[in-house]
Formats: sequence, structure tokens, C-alpha cells
Amino acid sequence: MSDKATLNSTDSNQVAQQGAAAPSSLQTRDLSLFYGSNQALFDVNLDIPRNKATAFIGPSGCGKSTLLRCFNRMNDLIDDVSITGEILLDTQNIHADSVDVSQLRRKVGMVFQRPNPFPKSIYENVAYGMRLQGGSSKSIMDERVEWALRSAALWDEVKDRLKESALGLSGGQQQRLVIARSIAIQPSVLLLDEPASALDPISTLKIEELIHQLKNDYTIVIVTHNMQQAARVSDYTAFMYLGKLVEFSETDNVFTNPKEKQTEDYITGRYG
Amino acid sequence: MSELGQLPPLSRRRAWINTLTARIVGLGGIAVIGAIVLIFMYLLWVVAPMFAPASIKPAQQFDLSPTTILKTDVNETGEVGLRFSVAGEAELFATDTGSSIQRVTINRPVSQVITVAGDDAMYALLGDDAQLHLLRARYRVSFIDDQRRLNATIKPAFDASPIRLGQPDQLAGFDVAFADEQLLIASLSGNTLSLREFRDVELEYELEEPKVIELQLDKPYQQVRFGPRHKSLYLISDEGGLEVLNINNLTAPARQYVGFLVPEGEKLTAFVPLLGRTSWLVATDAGQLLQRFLVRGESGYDLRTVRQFDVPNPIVKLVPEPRRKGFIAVDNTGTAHLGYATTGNILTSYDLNEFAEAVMAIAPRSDYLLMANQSGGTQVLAIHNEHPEISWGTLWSEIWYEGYAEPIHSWQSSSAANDFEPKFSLTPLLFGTIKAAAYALLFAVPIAIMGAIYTAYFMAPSMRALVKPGIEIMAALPTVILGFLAGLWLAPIIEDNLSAVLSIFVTLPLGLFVLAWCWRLLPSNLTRRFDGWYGLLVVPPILIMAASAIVMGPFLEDSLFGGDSRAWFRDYLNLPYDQRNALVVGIAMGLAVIPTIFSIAEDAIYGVPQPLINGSLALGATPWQTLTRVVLLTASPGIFSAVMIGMGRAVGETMIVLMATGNTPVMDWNIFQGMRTFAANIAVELPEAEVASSHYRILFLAALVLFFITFAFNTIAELVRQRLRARYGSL
Repeated sequence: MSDKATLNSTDSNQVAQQGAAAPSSLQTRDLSLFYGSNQALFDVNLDIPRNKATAFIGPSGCGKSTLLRCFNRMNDLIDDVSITGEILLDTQNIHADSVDVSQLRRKVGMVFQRPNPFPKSIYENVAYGMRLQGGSSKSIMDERVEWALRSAALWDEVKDRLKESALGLSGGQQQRLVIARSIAIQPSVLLLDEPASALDPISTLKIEELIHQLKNDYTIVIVTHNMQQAARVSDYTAFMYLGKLVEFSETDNVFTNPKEKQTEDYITGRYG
Repeated sequence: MSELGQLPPLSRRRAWINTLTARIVGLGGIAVIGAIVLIFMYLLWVVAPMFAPASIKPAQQFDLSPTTILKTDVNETGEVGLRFSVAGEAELFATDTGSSIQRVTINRPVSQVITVAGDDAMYALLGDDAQLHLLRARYRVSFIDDQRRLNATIKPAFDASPIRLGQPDQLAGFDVAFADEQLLIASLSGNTLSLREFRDVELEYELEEPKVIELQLDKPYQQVRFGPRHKSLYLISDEGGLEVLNINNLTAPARQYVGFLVPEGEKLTAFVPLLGRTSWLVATDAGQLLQRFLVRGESGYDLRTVRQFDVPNPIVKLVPEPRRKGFIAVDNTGTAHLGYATTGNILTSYDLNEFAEAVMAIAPRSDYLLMANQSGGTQVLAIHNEHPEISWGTLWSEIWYEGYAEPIHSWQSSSAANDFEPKFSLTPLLFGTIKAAAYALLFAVPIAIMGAIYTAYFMAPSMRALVKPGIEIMAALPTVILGFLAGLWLAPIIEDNLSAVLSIFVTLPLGLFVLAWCWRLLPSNLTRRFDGWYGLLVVPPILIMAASAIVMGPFLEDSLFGGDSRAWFRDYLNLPYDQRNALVVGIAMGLAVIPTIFSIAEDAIYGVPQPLINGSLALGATPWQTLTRVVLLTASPGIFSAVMIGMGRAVGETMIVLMATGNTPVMDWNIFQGMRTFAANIAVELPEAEVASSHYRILFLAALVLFFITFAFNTIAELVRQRLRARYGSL
């Protein structure tokens, strides 16, 4: 793997912004995706700004999760998927031959709909990503685990039982643990695929607070069914419908003054 | 409550079906447990009598005419007693009432009476004129009007004329042996040993003139006894001196051993040869009771003390069991101790009271002891001692058997000879069971687990849909066919191509590594097309590598092993080669357990939740890292179960080991040697074991042990699996 170029996230070399005010972290260029002969995404062009929270909303099956999974190439795992167009992470094409997919995923972390802690201790869950790279001393590891757990607002709840199984945590704690696990390897982008949909309202609130804090340091992309949630946590919102990006703008604009009729219909609950 | 009460009741049909289903399911579960408990109870019921304690109880007592008795005996069924008096009279009597059946006299006072070696119903009476009379008792059963009648008679064994042994005042000891139409008589007069050999002897016919061999001894002996199979002679002096002569060649007896029957400094108080006459039971004035026999050492034979029996007082009289290696030892306080040689145990003791001085004999089936006093008082004791040869020690520890140079573990349950000492050690069988299972698992576990990993985790779904059922169908292959192929087809092939077969185990994995490395050098957009189909892709190279190993075999044989690999392993690594060996069994039984292990392990790996795998991949893990750090960990309970269930199958497997191991109960980890397992042993020997004999019960004990082993394996497996599951179980 060492001979392959690692992605670098330095701020030099930024290309010109399109539409969004903040410098963009992820960009798609005419991105189309096919499941076999079935097209799921149609020419998506999107600039996701750096260190902001961007929400993808849209009805079920609109392609928002598919789009999200393009950013860390999780769609590679599905048979018979083909992609045209480009996805740029900090200007670098993530499908380039020089990109190693596991290195890409280190830079672009992902949190899934259901909490999926490994059947290991809380500590080992958080340390997992670092252990994959190897080479960290125990003290660095301890430090990073604590930092990640603090960042995920979980430290105070688990600091006395780091050696216990992560499966003993509640659903909300597990989801925050998974977030801690993702940020422990210090990605530049964090993809959240409906992170609170399986959680109770209090846990959901905690996750939302966490997103608020995390977006200062990470570019966050969140897929959500819950428009209130999108309105609460995101700076930018993309509305998708039937595999097409319908509207992408600052969240306030999308919710208060949608340009497209489809967006307005969705937001006001005519379908979805 | 009131609202619930108002709900309509369950319809009677539904309620009835509910109850019926619950009952049937419950009954099924209880029946399964019941069946297992019943099997267990039955095994226990057959095994338990083996460990029942021995007992001696008085059965009959009556008075016969007072006379000085030299010898008594009992018939096979214990119904007829026999006593020989000094007056030369032999009397048969019923042991229940004491009523006389027949009296025969030789009309001469008698000085000694012995049982002839080789025929325990023939007796040799030595008259005071040094003439030997041979009598033989016959017990015939007839049924008259469905009434069982036992007709007992005693009469001269050949013609009535006696055999003259020498001068009356010089004659010391004598012994008589009769077997294979040959009658041998050994007698001692001073320093002269006389051997008389009668050939072509037939019962009830006249004896022809014997061949007489006389031998001058260095010193006088008082007693002479034939040894095992009448091929040797023991000469014993009153001081306990012993000389053993090899008379395999009657005309030229060779001295085998000169020494002492007793340990130095002790005096002989009683001695008797045990059945087969290989070992001697020796009692000394120091209170020791020893079993001793000749052991061949580097510098010839040596008489070794093999066992010491724990008796409280010095022994004055020894009575051997006629058909087993047991004995009764009477001590100087008049207590009889029932002992058994192989186990070294004194089983029970009994106070003889006024019969302490009596002449005694144990019945052939070792179930009665007849004692006759000079006053005519006669007592029959019933002995209950069915399985004296079994003890914890004989089953599991090293035992010093007759004729061996040292204690060993041995399983040898039967022999053509009647005087054979059965060797019932379960240790070699346990060893064989473990060895067979270990080699099978050594072969099966890596293949099955790695196959399961590949199939579940890397293989294309369409190929998996063919491969998994295909391998599972292998489990349906009858093991008798696998065993047959292994024993009769594979074993000779491996024997003839040993170096080729061994080289496959090295070249195949190495070759695949090289192949994989070369594959990586190909452009990735070409190789990616075969993702998930590598399994099919490597089949031709594997076949080519195996074929080339077979072709290269003779060359390897010549260059590495000097032309004969079997001889090379035997000479340089001390690994002698049997055609049916652990390698063959490992492969054949490995093939039998691969489907089991593969199927369960594959299910476990395939069942690892996709979100866990995605979670790991999303953290930047490579598929291989995800496999080793998350998938195998999460699947570990299932993989562990798979191995344990495979082991359970290997331990209990019968047909393959029966047909491909050679069934030699040796204890040697050598992969080129066979073994005998519990299951195969039961299958081989149970049909020929006499019901209710020790052998029969031990085979049931072996079954019980096997039952416990598999029970223990399964229980441990389940416990560990549950613990692993609690720890690594998926979401």
C-alpha cells in the first residue's frame, strides 16, 4: 500500500468555488450511478463545503444514501454498480488508480443508521482504526481514545468501564461510540447515514448536539429523513428527488425560501 | 380483569390444538432425554457388576468317613467332589449332601497325589512302591425324561497298570503333563532327573514303552514341576533353590536359570505355580506373598518379583484357581485371602476356623472352594468373584504382565491359549482414539476452516450457491465407503508413493503462494474480472501440482530418501511404516469431518452481520484486516463449535478407523503407525465376547467411556461457545 499516494488534506491547491460560499471539501462532477442497468443517480453536481454540516433530504429511494456512500466508495462492495463522472476529495479524484480505497475511507469516515460497535471492549472499538495503521504507542493510543470519546461526549459515561464490552452500552451510547471510533482516526469528512433514526428522542438530541460541535473540525454530511433535524443541525441542505439533485443551498434558504416547487412540496409535506 | 373476562374464550378447536402441540413437543423433548438416560443406564447396568466386591459364603457342610486326605477336587459345575486318601482310595461324592457316588482304590498306600498338567480331571497317584497310577474323572450329563442327570465316574486314565518311577526310598518329587497325545513324566531321585516321554498316547488305551532320558544334576532338588506348555522344567529345593531347564529338545535339556525362588534370607513357606505356570506365587516366613517370574534380561533370564500382595500374616498354604490367575492364600491364623495376580489385589478374606488345616481345591469356574478335613468334615464355600482381573489399575495403569520385561499398557483381550493372561488396559484405546481424531483434525481443520472463510467471505455468490451444497452432500457419503477406499485403495497408493504424497503437503501450499504472488503481478483490471472466482481458477494448478508431485515422486525417492523412503524413515527417524496408518486415517477421516466443520463454520462466518463488516471497512480496514479482526472474532463461537463437533465425530467414528487403521493397539504418535480406537475396538470384539464375561463388560465400559468423552466434549464445546457468544456475539 505504501507505494500508493495517500490523499492529502492540505488547504493549498483549492479550486474555485461553485455556488457555495465556504471552500468545498467534496465535489461531484456529473456523477451518475447505475445498479446494473438501473440508474440511481443522475448527473449530480455538488460542492460540499469544508467544516460545515450538509444535510441530504428527500423521500425514500431518492438516492441520498447512495450518493453519501459514493463519497467513501462503500458502493464498491455492491455487485454490479457502475459510476460515471467524478468525485473529488480536496481536488483529488477518489476513483483514480493511485487512490487506495482503504486510505480514502480513513479520510472519509462513515457512521451508519444502526449502531454497529464491534464485539470488543469500548477501548478497543475506539482504538480499532488506529490499530489498523499500526505503530502507535500505548500512551498515544490512550490519549487519542480519551480525546475521541470526549469529542463524542461519551467519556464521562464510559471512562470507568473502558475494558467492558461495547455491546453493553445503550443504543444512543453505542452510536456515539461509533462516532468516536470514526473520529479517532481523524478523518477530514464524516458521513452520517441517518445516524439518529434508530434512537430515542433524548439520544437523538445528544447526537445532534454532537454534530454541532463536530462541524467545527470536520466536514459533515448527514442523510436524514427528519426535516426538523436537517433544519436544526445543518448549514447547507441538498434536496434530492428520484436520483436527481433538485436544490442545494444554505439550510435557511431551502426551508424558508425554496426555489424549486418540488422542494417546497416536500418540505410542506405534500409527499415523502 | 373484568374486561378480559368479557373477551370471548379461545375457540375450543384452537385451545385443543394449542394443548396438543405443547404436549407433543414436550413429549418429544422428554423422550430424547429419556432415551439418552436409558442408554446410559443400560451401559451402567452391564458395567457395574465388574466393580462388585468379591465375597465368600459357606454353602454346604457335611461329614464323610474320617481318613487322611491327600488331595481334593471339584468338578466343573461344582456338584461333585473328589477326595484322595492315603489308603489309595479315590471317592466321588455329591457336594450338596455328601452322599458317596463312587469309590475306587488302587490297593496301595499313596504318598502323593497331583493333578496332571494339561488335563485338570486327570490325577497322578504315587504309591509307596514308587509306582505311578493315573486316574481320570469323567462327568457326563444326560437328560432322562427331561431330568438332568450328572453321571460321575473315576477310573484309570489308560490301562490299569502303573508306571514305575524308580526306587521307593530315593524318589523325591515328580510331575506329570499330558497334552497333544504326549504324556511326560518327570521325577527326581537324588541328583538324578528322569524324564519319561510316552508318544501317541490315547485315553483308555494301553501306554507304550516310554523314551527315558536321565540327567545328572549338580545338586539334589526335592520338587519338580513342568513349566509353560511343558517346554521347561522347574526344579525346586526345600531351601527355596530354583533351577529352570529348557526341555524343548527333550534329549538335550538346557539350563535356563539357577537361583532362588525366595528372596535372599527368607525361607519358603508355600509356593504354587499360577495358571500357565509362567509365574510363581511364593510365600515366605517373613510374611511376604510374592508373584515372581522369569524375565529375559541382557544377561539371560532373571527371576523377578513382579508383585507383592498385601497379607497381614505369613502365608502357610496356597491354592491356585485352575482356570484363572487367582488364588487363595491361607495364613497362619487360619484366615483365607482371596487374591488375583494381574491386579495384585487381595479381594476378600474369610476365617476358616476348624478348616484351616484342611486339604482344599477351587472349582474350575472359581465359584466353589472344597475343604476336606482328616476327620472327614467337609465344607463347601461359595465364592462370588466374577471379575477379579478388573481394577482401576488394570484399566488405566501400566501392568507387569506375565512374560514381559517391564510394566506396559496393553490391550490383548483374547488368545488361542487357555492359560493366557488377558490384558485389558483401556489406555491404548484411549490413546488410539485421540491419535486418530488428532490426525484427522490436523488434516481437516485447516482445510475446512479456510475453505469456509473463502466460501463465506470472498467467493462470488453464484459460485457459493454451488460449492456449499456440494460440500455438504459429501457428509452424506457413507463412512464405510470412505473406510473401504482408504483401507484398500488409498493405503497401498500412499505406501507406493510415500515421498510423492508427503511432498504434496509441502509443494501444494508453497505453490499456491507462488501462484498468488504471480497473480498480483498481472494488471489489476484483468484480475479484477475474476474476483470471487479464484476458487475455480486454482483447481487446474492444484491438479497439475499434485500430478507433477506424483511424477516427481520416484525422483524424490531416489534423491532424498536413497530409493526407499519407508526404510529411510525407519532407519533415520525411527518411524517404522505400516501400510494402514495414521496418515491414511487422517486423510480419510479428515474427509469425513470436513463437511461438518466446513458447513457450520461457513454458516458462522456468513452470518457475521454486514453492518459490522461495513463498519470496519469504513474505518479504512482492508478486507483482510476486516476478516482477521472483526469477522473471525465475531464468528469464533460458531467456528469453535464446528471444530468441536468435528472432533466429536472423529472420536466416535467407527467404520473408517475400523477399515483403515490396522487396529493395532499401539501407543505411538508415529504418523506411519496404526492405532485402535474405542469405537473400532467395540465393533471388532463385541460379537466375539462371551456375554457377561469380563471382556464383554469391559467393552461396555469402553462404550461408556466413549459416551463420557463425547458428552464431555460436547458440554465443554457448548459452554465455551456460550461464553464466546456472550463476549463476541453479534448484535
